[in-house]
Amino acid sequence: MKYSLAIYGAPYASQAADTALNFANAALSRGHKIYRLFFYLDGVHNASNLATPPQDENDIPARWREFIEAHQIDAVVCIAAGLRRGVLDEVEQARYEKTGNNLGKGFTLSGLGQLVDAATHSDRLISFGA
Amino acid sequence: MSHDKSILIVNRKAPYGSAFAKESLDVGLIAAAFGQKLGILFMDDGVYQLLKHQDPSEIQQKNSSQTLPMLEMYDVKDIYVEAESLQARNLDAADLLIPVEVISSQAISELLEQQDILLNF
Amino acid sequence: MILHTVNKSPFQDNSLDSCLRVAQPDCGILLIEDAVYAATETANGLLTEQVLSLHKLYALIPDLKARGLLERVKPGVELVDYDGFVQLTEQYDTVQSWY
Repeated sequence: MKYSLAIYGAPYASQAADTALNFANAALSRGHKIYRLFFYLDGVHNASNLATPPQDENDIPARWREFIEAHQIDAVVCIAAGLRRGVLDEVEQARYEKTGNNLGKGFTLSGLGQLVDAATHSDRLISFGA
Repeated sequence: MSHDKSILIVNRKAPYGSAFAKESLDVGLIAAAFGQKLGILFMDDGVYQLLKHQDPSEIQQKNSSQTLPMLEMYDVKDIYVEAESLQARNLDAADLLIPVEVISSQAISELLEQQDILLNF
Repeated sequence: MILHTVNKSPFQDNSLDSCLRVAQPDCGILLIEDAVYAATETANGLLTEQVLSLHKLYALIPDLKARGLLERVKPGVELVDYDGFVQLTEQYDTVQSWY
């Protein structure tokens, strides 16, 4: 089956991101496809490549990046929610003349339409709320 | 975009204390703009999103309730509110900003089952 | 038929309460994260015999284990791991997340 996951919780603030990542791994292990990961609300913080947890701790953003790269998953961060919370790519950094960017490798910034598209093109859409 | 799937947005959070109400409304407007078959349900503290006389100007927030009438402009007619949630908060349909269909939890139970996709906020 | 997931402790908010109010008989209810506290013998006792006979209750093993609850689960609640979580989403048509 085709799955899409909507992730609304920031890493460390709640368990939502961990639960979603564990679910995503289990879904692939069962032979399913992931059509899209959509990060919205505080979930956009999962895409920050500036998160620097202590070395012996679970690095959730890094685990997402590895997961997305290893399985070539479409991972979309809502651009409005991301900009609002300081998750920017190079293009947005230049556009708003900010001092840096932090969108992790494998993630793309795009519009909310991608959530609606994921909902209509997947067999299952599951919300992971905080 | 496939339009045949039905989407129900389920709102259960009060406005302003978190971003859920505002960002959920954005999803509703986008889905409606795409011509998607869409319903929106308000229950639990989500019913407070519809309350009249909201003025968050002194807490530095936008009044998201002012955007609610746009749903009608986008032809979103299926707006439901759970009767039990209203009753528990001593509210009725006259306290709400936009026309809604007040339905029982039993009817909501059936409404949820009819959907292809549930978006939870 | 819907799979409901709940992730809040029943002592913290009304997510499980609301879920039970609109859940159809024979639907699945999966307790995850802090909602696994509801799978134990709790003072507020939301998971009555009647609820357990009406709906299929599941709880996520890693979340129970993390909280020291594996030996405290009420009879009638079925334990699943993440593979089982995915399986449930295959069996049921949609997922309603209460959080």
